[in-house]
Amino acid sequence: MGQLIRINKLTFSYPGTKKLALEDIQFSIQKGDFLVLAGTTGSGKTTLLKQLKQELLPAGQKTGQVLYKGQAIADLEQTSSAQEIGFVAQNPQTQPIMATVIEELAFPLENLGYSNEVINSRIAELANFLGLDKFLTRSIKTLSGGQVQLVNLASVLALKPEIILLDEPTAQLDPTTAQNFLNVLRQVHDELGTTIVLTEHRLSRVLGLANRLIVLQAGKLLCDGSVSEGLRKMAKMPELSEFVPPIPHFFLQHRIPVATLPLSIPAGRHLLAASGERFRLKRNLTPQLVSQGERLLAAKNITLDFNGHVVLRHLNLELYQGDWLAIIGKNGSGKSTLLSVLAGLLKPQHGKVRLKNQVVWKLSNQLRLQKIAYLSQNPLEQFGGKTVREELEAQNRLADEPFTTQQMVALMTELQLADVANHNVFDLSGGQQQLLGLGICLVTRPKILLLDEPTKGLDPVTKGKLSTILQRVHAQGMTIVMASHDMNFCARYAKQCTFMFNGQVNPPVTSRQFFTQNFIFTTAINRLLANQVPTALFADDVTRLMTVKGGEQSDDAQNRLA
Amino acid sequence: MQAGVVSELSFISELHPLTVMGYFIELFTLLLLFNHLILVIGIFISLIGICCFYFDSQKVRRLLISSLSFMGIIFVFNLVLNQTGRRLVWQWHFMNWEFNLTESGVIYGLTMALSLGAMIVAFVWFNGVMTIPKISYILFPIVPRLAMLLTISLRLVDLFVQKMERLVMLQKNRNIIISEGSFRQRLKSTGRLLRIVLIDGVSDSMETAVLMEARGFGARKRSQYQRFGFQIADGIFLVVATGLFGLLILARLQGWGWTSDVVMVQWQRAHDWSLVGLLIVFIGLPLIGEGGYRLWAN
Repeated sequence: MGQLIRINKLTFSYPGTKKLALEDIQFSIQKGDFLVLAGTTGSGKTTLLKQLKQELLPAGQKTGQVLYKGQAIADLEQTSSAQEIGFVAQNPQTQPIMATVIEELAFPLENLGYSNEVINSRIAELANFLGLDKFLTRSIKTLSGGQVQLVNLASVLALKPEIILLDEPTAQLDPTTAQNFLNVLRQVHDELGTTIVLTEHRLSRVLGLANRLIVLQAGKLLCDGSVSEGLRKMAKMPELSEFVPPIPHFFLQHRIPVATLPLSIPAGRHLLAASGERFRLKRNLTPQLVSQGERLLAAKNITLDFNGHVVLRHLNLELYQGDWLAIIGKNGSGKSTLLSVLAGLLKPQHGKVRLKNQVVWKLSNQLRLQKIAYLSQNPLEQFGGKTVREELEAQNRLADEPFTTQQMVALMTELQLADVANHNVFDLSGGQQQLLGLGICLVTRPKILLLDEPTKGLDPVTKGKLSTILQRVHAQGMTIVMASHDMNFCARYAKQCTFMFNGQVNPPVTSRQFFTQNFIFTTAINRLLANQVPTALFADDVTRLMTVKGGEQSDDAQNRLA
Repeated sequence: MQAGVVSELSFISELHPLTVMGYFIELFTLLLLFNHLILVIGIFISLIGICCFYFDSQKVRRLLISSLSFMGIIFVFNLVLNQTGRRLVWQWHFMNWEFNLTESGVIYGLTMALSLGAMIVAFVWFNGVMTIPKISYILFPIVPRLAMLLTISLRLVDLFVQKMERLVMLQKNRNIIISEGSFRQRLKSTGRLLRIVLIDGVSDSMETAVLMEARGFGARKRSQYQRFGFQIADGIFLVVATGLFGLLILARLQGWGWTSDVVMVQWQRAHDWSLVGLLIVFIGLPLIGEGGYRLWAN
């Protein structure tokens, strides 16, 4: 192991701002490291990552040094930089430039003038190593997001880099494809010895691969050390404690003494069993019947196919006023299509969706959007490219009962967008865009709010803001339906849940019943405590029992909780 | 298989791009060389037959509808513009205006319509066989920047189409609908969608450009990954096609298949039937190749 990158007293600020994006950063990256850079949105993770590659260096004022093998990053030859330092961006679709997979893999090698023989053997090796051999002649546009991200990684790997930098590479992927991508990354690290530096705020999957965790807070280095050490520090800080994944968070919250925090469910179960820790439910958490209001929306016998592929098959679903329904299902199960049909944006080949007694796609568009609001996975696709204020005002003009100026200001404050009211929507962070998308939905005072993957790519802080707003509007009588892969979010906030597969949805049941019955699609804590407290979904659902004399156990009450 | 692209398992897709390009240059040349009705009917029907073999029925149906409509317009225009021809078939008076339908007008109109229709069908077929990667492969040694630009544009067009499809659906939530309202309103809505695509596209393109540079684009003179090899089948196909092409050129040089004076055009002339046979064989060469390719299979 040798030193690959050395950062000496790095301070950086973007043009036109006095605020330091990075302040006095100092650390080194060793060959073979798998390093995770964590921190809240705006903590400087991506800015720091971009300092490690010449082509990505942002414009701004910089002091200090960033050295790669003893040479300043900015002075590296473009060839060496491209060859030795790879980069994979957050949005999978921005990297590919060629039409097919094989051309995309050949692209960096052609750029550096490699011969046909070398290109051929590199592609052959890589495609087989990463399992892309069956996709080689496929057009990039026919691949899923996860597959494209894998092609992006392969294209970077083709140059046999010493180090790969990844900026939240799984933020746009669903959990299954994100896991597959990380498995491949582990393989690249373990079998090729490539150094990996990755920024992430969804830490539960990625920390199991890392040997080091660096935590940034407001541009400063908060911690640089082992994963356990970093997590313990994060847990002590209110603004970062939500970032700690559920399993280590459980051990920290219940103060279970362990030398190294477990990061996976098997490791957590093993430690609990070894230490003989026992838990019991804090209170009676039996599922409560949810009272149903009047029927608002009814989908009856819906069948929809795309190019001969049946996506929705004789689907029936009823929504009542005050429902908060979460639809769970794997990628491609038809959740997004179902929401589009319920919103009246897509017309199925058979069946009807009725809002009270009116078929939704026969309603005038303006009336439809006053009654049913829909927020897609990528809120940018629902924006008009104007400022935050203009976007909200434009939608307000479509409302039956528009918001007053005061109400509009209050909404922007609640969405925490007041400071960026005059910024263009394309300049907002992903979290701000999601909150603005929600604001645009709420401004028409709809009866039903349909949300497609509302927490996708969001950090825990923004997720918290989103949940607060959703709880408020739900309490005011709004019906919410959300398609999501986020088990914790659904279990915590949705009132009913259902599973979607084979083009149909199961009859909805209460969330607690749904998650305690499931053994795969449930919360991490439910799986951790499946043998002891099968009805627990969250760390705060249980109390730790203390072993006292005679082997009896007693409640480890509040004094042991932080 | 992508709609409108010939299956990569077909004989013509297996041929080297240069062979295919050579064949199509010969085909397009022949389409310009003959103006006898029997010949253009033969060419048009052969090309439609070829398309039925290579493309799905939906694609052929769409192609027929668009080309026949275009051909109808060309035919009508020719009737109106060629009223002084040979043998008056029908006459019509309207106030001071007189319309003469002549036999030579009908023959010439049909010939022109079928020639242009054949050109369109041949181009669609060419487009299905010579995909952009193949064209840029041919262009790379001569004009590398254009080849690269073509490749990039293919990806950008895909992204643009995908984005537009999603925007058309999702922007209904902002009351922007391109399928409802007056023409002016629809135009305005389409303009708004294009504006969003452009803003989004510019920001994505800047990131893409940085990521291209990050993978060494512009660092050195690019090489080209060769994925096409010249096979025996290429040689045989090229020799036979060029042989037939040569025969047809010779016939044309003898004055066969062409009438310079519009007034003198006839339904058929001597030698037309032997020429049409040669043309059908030339156009059907890829199908003969497909047969041979299947016979050759284990």
